[in-house]
Amino acid sequence: MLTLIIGGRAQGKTAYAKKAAGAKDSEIANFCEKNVRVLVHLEETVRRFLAEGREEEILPYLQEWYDEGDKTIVCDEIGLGIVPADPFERKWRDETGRILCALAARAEHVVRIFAGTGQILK
Amino acid sequence: MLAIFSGGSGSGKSEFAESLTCLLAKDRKKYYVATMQVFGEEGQKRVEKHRNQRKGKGFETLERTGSLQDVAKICSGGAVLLECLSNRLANALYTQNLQDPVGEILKEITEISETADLVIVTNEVFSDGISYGAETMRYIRLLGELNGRLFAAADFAAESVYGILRVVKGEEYAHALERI
Repeated sequence: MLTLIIGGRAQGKTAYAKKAAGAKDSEIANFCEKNVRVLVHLEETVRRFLAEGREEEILPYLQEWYDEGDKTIVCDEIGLGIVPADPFERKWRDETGRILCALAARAEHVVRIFAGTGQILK
Repeated sequence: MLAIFSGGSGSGKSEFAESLTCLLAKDRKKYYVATMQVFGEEGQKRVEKHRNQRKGKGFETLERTGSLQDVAKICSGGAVLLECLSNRLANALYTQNLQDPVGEILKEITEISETADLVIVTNEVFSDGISYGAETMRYIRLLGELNGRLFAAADFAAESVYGILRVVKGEEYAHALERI
């Protein structure tokens, strides 16, 4: 089962994810590994892959991990600002949105955190 | 009929707006009003991406990087997809130097929606917490005002959150979209 948690910065997304998933601190990370149950800051992973020109590998990288059990992905909503002049910055926001669309379609649950409160979108 | 979709970068709002325009048009003519000024290779790629998305759906494209005043007449009786309001406002401010950009844009939109079914795509640009220069802050304030006025006036209004619709009003259109 896959849960997607999105929202602005400092809204309590990780705390919400930790509680909802019943995860220990050691099971929360910003990379995909077998023992990790909550992946935080997906936007940073997207940025890393983009910088290396490997955007096509992002979804397969995530899927290999979340297909292995109950997983939660947490991501900042970085696409809600002025569209930046810098092409890489623009691409990062667009690509993160595209990945989130794919994950939201695949996920059983999608929750948007607003001031620590979870709004169930799916 | 007036419909408006908002959402952030890559949120899937264009896809929803296209689907609704096709749904409303039935067998009437469909128009795509493109407001983006195309700069460089990246801009060209964006245009290509949106063109591919619309391919085979039978849209006639009108490029309008300034006023939209002729659109109501040209598109009368059809369905119009206006993409996007954020570029329309930028054109009004920085190309046309309009004194009352919000008033002018609302007037154009009202005229179009009186002769055709109009679906508008706008943008959520309000939450990056960055303090910009006065010009950009004015842009943000005016887009916020336009979005608010149009969400209030619209028959259907929704935010696309990564392909999930958060409907503000017009549930019946959302149900019709779900059935596609």
